[in-house]
Amino acid sequence: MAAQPTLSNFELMVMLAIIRIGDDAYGVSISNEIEETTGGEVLLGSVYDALTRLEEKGLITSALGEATPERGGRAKRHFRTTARGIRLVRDTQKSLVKLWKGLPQLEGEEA
Amino acid sequence: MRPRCEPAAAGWLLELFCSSAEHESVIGDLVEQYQLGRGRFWYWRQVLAIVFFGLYRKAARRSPVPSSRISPPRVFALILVVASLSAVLASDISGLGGLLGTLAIFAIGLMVGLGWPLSERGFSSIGTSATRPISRHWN
Repeated sequence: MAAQPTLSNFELMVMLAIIRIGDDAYGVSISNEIEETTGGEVLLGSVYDALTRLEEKGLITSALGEATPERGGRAKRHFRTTARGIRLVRDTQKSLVKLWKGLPQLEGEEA
Repeated sequence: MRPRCEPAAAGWLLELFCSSAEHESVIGDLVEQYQLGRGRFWYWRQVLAIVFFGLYRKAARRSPVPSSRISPPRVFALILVVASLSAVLASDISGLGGLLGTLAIFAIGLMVGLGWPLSERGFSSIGTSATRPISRHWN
């Protein structure tokens, strides 16, 4: 049986951003989504790096869109999650929720 | 309204270090944001980060040494060397001060690349949190 791929913290954020955005998920929109939800600045380089790794693991696929004038005639690369990617995110969520339960240190706003 | 011209030297750096398929969409993303009002500093920072992560990934992939042992300082030093060399080649700086500054950056890049004076621990947080798995052995 093939080994289950692993997800880093940032890769998980990128996967969730792609799922949230839907059809228009590309470098800038993914970066903006993470910035808006986390409140921190995200370098495009780190997003592209994570996207490359996720694609190599077979968790997302990409396709070039049409070139537009506002991008200097260059095409967008759109990203979508694969069934395997969705499954791994769901497994990760389940595991995190299990780990979260029953931890008094993490309850309340002060934690 | 006339579109702003993005920094040419930054585009050249990307062309040098990114594959052509990757380069097309990456530059498009940067140009889109630049035309929406982002500054030259933002543009340069993004380009250097893209080159940094790209080189780090390539080094980790090609090296016979395990990826955990390839230190980000070495890749960072390489970026410094490349950036200072490109500054000279693109003639973005002029005068003796600029030349000396570039040579100084070049020398620092070489020294860090050779492992002095920064220890690996000092720089260990750069670029490593993104590659640390959090879901290993969960099944």
